[in-house]
Amino acid sequence: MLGKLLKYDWKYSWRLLALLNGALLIFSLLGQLGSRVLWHGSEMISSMLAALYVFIYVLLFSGSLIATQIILVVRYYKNFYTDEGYLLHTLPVTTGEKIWAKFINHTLWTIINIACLMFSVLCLLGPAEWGNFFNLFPKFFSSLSSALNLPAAVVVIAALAAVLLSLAFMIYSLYFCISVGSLFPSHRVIASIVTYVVLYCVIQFGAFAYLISSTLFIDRRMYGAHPASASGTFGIVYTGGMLLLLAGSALFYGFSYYAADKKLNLD
Amino acid sequence: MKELVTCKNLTKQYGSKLALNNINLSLEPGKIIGLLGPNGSGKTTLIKILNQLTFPTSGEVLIAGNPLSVTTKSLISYLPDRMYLGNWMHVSDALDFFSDFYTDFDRSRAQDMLSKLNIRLSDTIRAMSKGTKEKLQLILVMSRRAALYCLDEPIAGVDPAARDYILSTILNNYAPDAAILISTHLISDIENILDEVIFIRDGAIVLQSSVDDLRIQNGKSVDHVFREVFKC
Repeated sequence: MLGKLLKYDWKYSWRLLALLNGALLIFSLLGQLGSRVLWHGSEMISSMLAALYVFIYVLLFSGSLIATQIILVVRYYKNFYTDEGYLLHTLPVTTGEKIWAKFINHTLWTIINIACLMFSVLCLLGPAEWGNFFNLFPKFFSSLSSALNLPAAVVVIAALAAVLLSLAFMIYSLYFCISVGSLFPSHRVIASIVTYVVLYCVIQFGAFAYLISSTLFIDRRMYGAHPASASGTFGIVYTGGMLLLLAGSALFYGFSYYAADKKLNLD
Repeated sequence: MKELVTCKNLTKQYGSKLALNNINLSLEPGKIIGLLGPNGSGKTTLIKILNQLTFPTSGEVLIAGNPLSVTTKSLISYLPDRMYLGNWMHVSDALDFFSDFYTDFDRSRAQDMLSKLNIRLSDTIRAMSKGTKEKLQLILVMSRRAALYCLDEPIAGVDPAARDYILSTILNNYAPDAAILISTHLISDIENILDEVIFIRDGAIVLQSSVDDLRIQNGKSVDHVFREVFKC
């Protein structure tokens, strides 16, 4: 049933999100083509058009980033806690399957969105810069690998795992806010937004506190009376961060499950 | 006859408000049952509990002997008092959706009913009138071969012609061994198709009887009895 739920989540989102991300890509390609043409034109017109282009591009770029998340979060809210919930919650599927379907669709579209954003930047940079751009990653991972004295593959896998877990943490935190809002008898959207603002502050404070304590910990381990290896220190700090992300994601998922399974109360 | 729905000491409380008060109820298959009561009497709450859209504060509900679960959801075909299909869907999407999730969905029957109403598979739900949306939803719900149909206010707010269509669709499409629970306060329009009635007031059941017994005992129509029982 998870596959079937995913099929309809995908069907709902693909037209709108493909249009949004497609528009950004086409606009980026137009920008690349336009820059070649305008390069040979009048300087004043070129500058004006370039300024206008950059303005629209920034709008489209940030718009696609924000709108992708809003569309997917609204889908979750409408499907779970508005009239559409009368259909979703009477389907012979488990609550876990419902949440996982939304999460997988959300993750896929976030990755597609990030890929489109990166591709649009590449389009603007032009093929001449692609080599430099793609060399950034191997250089970054290779220097990190030598600094930590760890194989490059381990560093890449660790980075990828951190990105995916951060994504899960972010998506489930949004579902958590909607679930908290759903417990209110009225003004559920406002309650969800307020929850998000409070949660965002708590997460930022928590991340800051973790970074500060990690720095102090690293200093003591690296430069203390008995210096430890860089990889060992990195391993501890990294594992701690990953465990925090995992615990947070599990907490957010658990609460979203609880709200939909035990506290569901549609208007 | 084996009970299809059993409610034991069912109570639902919303804060300080008692929506259902210690309800004991059993429904048998093969009957059309009217759940009758004024607005706010607890009809929708009872139907929502059967469909797991809200949960009882205390008490027990069994559907065909099973406690409420994913299994019981597959036994019930539910028509809520609102539009629950996404506006983005085409009619074909809605048919695919029901075919995918309900093994008892009879797609050809649904398509046949839709074509009689000139509803095309390519039509989008967003562009439909309120009445067409309601008919589409009814067709989807009644095209299932479910054990229990829960229809919440199916004829409220529709014109008399649409009312006739809805009632004939209900009568012509339910399986003989299934039960239909229809909640409404529009008794006169519906009493001719009912086998049994349940009167509910302030969350408590005040009467459960077969329609024939009620008429014979009182010498009046169900509508008249209802008006007397619920007189303000």
